[in-house]
Amino acid sequence: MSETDVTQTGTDAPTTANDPQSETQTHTTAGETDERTQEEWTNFTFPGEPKLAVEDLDVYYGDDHALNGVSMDIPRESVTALIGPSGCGKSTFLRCLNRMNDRINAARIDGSVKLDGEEIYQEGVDLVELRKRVGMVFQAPNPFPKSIRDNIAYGPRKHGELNTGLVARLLGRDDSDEEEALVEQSLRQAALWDEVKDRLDDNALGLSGGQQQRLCIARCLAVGPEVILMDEPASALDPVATSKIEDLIEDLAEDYTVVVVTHSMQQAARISDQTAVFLTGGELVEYDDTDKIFENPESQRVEDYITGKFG
Amino acid sequence: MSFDTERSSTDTLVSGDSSTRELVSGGLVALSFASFTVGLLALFQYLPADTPVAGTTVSTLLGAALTVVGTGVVVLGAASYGGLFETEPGHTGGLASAVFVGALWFAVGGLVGAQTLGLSTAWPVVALLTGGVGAAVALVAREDLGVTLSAGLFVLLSGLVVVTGLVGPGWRWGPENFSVVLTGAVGVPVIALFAGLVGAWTAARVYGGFGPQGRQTGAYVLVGTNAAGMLALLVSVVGFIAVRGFGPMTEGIKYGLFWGPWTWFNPPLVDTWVILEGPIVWFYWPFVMEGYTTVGSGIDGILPAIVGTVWLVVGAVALAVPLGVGAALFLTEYADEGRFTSLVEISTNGLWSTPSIVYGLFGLAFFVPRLGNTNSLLAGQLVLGFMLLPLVVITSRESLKSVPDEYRDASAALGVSKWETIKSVVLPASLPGVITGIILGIGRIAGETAPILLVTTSDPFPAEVAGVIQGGFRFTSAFPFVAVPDVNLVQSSSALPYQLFAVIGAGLGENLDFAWGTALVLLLVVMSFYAVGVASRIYFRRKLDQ
Repeated sequence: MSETDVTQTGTDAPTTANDPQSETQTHTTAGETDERTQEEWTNFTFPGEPKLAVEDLDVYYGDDHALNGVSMDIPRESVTALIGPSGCGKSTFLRCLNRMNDRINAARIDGSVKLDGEEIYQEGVDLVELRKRVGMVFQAPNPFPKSIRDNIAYGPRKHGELNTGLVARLLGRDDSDEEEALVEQSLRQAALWDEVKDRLDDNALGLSGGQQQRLCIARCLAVGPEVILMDEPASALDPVATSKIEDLIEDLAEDYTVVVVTHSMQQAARISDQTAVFLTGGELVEYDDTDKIFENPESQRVEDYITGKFG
Repeated sequence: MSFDTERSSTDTLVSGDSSTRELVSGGLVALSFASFTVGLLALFQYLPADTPVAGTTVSTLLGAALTVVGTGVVVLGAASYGGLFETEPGHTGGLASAVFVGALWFAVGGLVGAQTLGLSTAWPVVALLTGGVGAAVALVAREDLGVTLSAGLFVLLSGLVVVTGLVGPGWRWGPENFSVVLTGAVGVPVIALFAGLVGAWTAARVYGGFGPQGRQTGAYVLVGTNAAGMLALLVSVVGFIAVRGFGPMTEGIKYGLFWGPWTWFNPPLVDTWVILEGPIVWFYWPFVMEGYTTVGSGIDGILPAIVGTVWLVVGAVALAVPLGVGAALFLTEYADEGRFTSLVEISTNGLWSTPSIVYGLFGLAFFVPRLGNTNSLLAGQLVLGFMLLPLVVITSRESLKSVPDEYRDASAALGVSKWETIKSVVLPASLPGVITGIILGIGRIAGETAPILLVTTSDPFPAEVAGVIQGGFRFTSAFPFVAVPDVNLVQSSSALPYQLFAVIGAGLGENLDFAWGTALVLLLVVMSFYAVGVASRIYFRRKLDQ
C-alpha cells in the first residue's frame, strides 16, 4: 500500500496533511502517534445531515471507564458496523444511542448524542418517544412468552396506537383490522411472514432461533422506528439463519438507519457501508468506509486487529 | 500399582449371562426389600406382627428372611474373598460405610448392654466397643470381607433375635427409669425395617461386584428404598385416615332417581331434608350437608365447620395475595438491592417462622375488640391472611427474580413503561411460581387451629352455618368503622381443625368416629384447594409455553 492510496481513498472532504499518517505507517508500535492523529482517522464525513451525531461521549461503570471520548456521526439510511475486541465498549456505545444504559444504576454518561440534531441527553427527553424512534435488537433472541401476533402488536398496543382490549371490542371501537395489517407488514419486512402466516397465534418460543431473532426485528419494526440498533444480532445463530439476518439488514438499510455491533469482521465487511473500530480502553480508533477500513486502514493497531495480530 | 495392558476377563464391554453371584445377591436384595415392606405394613397394623401365616407368624417369617439375607451376604462376601467370584473389591470398605455400620453396631451394643447390664455407666462402654469393632472391620479388611461381614452379621443377628422369639409379638421391654414400654408390635417391625434396609444395601454391593460399581448399586438401592419408604409412609398416613374416616363420612348417604317426567308433578316420598334436588336425581349426604344435631336422632353433620374453613381460606388468600404480590413487586422491580431489601427479606422470613399462636394472640388483642368485640370469621381471615402474607412475599419474590431480564430489556427497548412491562410481561411469566407459593400456604392455614381457637370460634359444634352472605357488614364513619349487624361476616364460626380438636378434647369416646370423619373431610377440603391451585398453575404455565 502506498501513501497516496491512503489519502485518495480517504474521506470525501480530506482536511488533514499526510505527514503524520505516513509517520504512523512506518511505526510498528503505534502508541503516541495514534493519539495525535486519531481525531482525523475517526473524522468520517459524508454528504447530508447525520442521523445521529455523537460528541465526546464518556461512559463510566463505577470506576470503570468504559467509553473514552467517542465522537462519530452516523449517516442516515445505511448500515454502520461497530467492531472491536470483547470489552472494547462497542455495546456500551450502542446502548447509549437509545439510553438503554439509563437502566444500569452504576452507569454515568457524559457527552452529547443528537438524533436529527436534537439532544437526547437533556432534561425532559421522553424516553418512550426516543425508544420508539430508536429501536433495539439484542444478541440473544428474546421474544416474549406470548403468541407471535401478541409479540408484534405488543409495542403499538402499549403505546395506545392499537386498541384491541375487551372494552374497546365491546364498544365496537377496536383496531383489529389495523393490527392485522400491521402484523403482516412487520413480518413481511422482517422476511418472516411466509414462514409463520398460518400460526400467528402459536407461542413465539416455539420458533427456531433464527426465526425468533427475525420476530424480534419485526417486533421492533412494528413500533415504527427510524434507527435500528442491533447488538450482535446473529452471534447466537447458525450460518443459514445468520445469512438470512444479514440479507435482512441490507434490505432494512433502504428505509432505516441501522447500527450493528458485531464480533465477526467478515460480517461487518459483507453488510456495512461504514465501519467503526473500537479498541481496548473504550476508544474509537478508526471510522471510515468499510472498504477502506478492511483494505487499507490508517492505524497500525486497526490493521493488526483486522489481520488477526491483536485482539 | 502397575498399568499392564493385559486384559483380564472382567474387562469385556458386554457382560454375559448373569452369574450365580448376581442371581443370589439379586434374590437377597428382593428378600430384604420384602422384609422392609412387610415391616412397614406391620408397623401400621395393616399386617400385625402376630398374624398367623401358614402355621407360623409374620414375625417368625420376617426373622427367617433376615437370617437368610444375613447368612447369604456373609457367605457371598467370604466366597468373593476366597476368589470364587470375579469381583473388583477396594482395599477398604470406605469411611462412610464404616461410619454407617459402626453406628449400627453401636446401637446393637448399646441395646444389648442396657438389657444385660442395666442403665448404668457400663452400657456406653459396651456400645462404643462394639461400634468401634464394627467400624474397624469395615475399614481395615478388604471391601468384600469387611462390609459383608460387619453389615451381614448385623442382619443375621437381627434375624436370629426375631426368629427365635427373643423379640417376638409377645415381647415387652420397659427399662427402669423409662416411662415407655416397647412391645413386640413395634419392636419387630422396626427391626425388620432397619435390617431390611441394611441387607438390601449390602446385597446390592455384592450384586455390583464391589468397587465403584458396587457402591453405585448399593447407594441406588439405599436411596431408592428410602424414597419408596417415604412414599409408602405418606400413603399409609392418608390411608390410615381414609380407612377410619370413610365410614363415618359416608354414613346415611341417600340418592335416587325420579323415573320420568310424570314424577315431576308427583315426586316420590322423600324426607324433607333433601338438599340437592334436580329434576332427575336427588342426593343427600348428611355428614357434609347438615349441622350438628342438638337432638339425639339423626346424623351429626359438619357443614358449618366446612363452610367456616372454606371462608377462612378464601378470605385469607384474598387478603394476602394482592398485598404479598404487590410487596414482592415493589421489592424486586422498584427497590434497589441493598440494606432495605435485605432487611425486609430477613423480617419476612422471620414472620413466616413465627408460631401461629402468637398471631392468634395478636388477633385476639387487636382485631377482636375492633371488629364487634366478638370472635368472628373476619378476624380469623385477617389473622390467617397475615400469617400467609410472608410466604406469598417470599415465593413471589423468588418467582419474579427468575423472570429473565431479557424480557424487561426487550420491553424497555420498545419504549414501554416499567409498570406496563410488569403488568403484561413480568407478572404473567411469574404467575406459576406465585401460585405454587399460595398452594403451599393454603396447606398451612387451612389446618391452623390455634389462632382460630382464639379469634374465630365459640361453639365447636354449631347446628347452623354462620351467615356469611345473607347479612353483609357495613362500613361506618365512626370508629371502628365497621358496623355489626346480627348476621354477617363478623360472626363466630367453627372450622374443621378446631372441631377436630374439640371432639378429641371433649373425650367423646364413642364419637371418635366423628373425629375421623372430620379429619377426612378436612383432608379433602385442603386437597380440593390444592387441585384448584395446581389446575390454575398448569393453565398459566401452558399459556406461557404452550
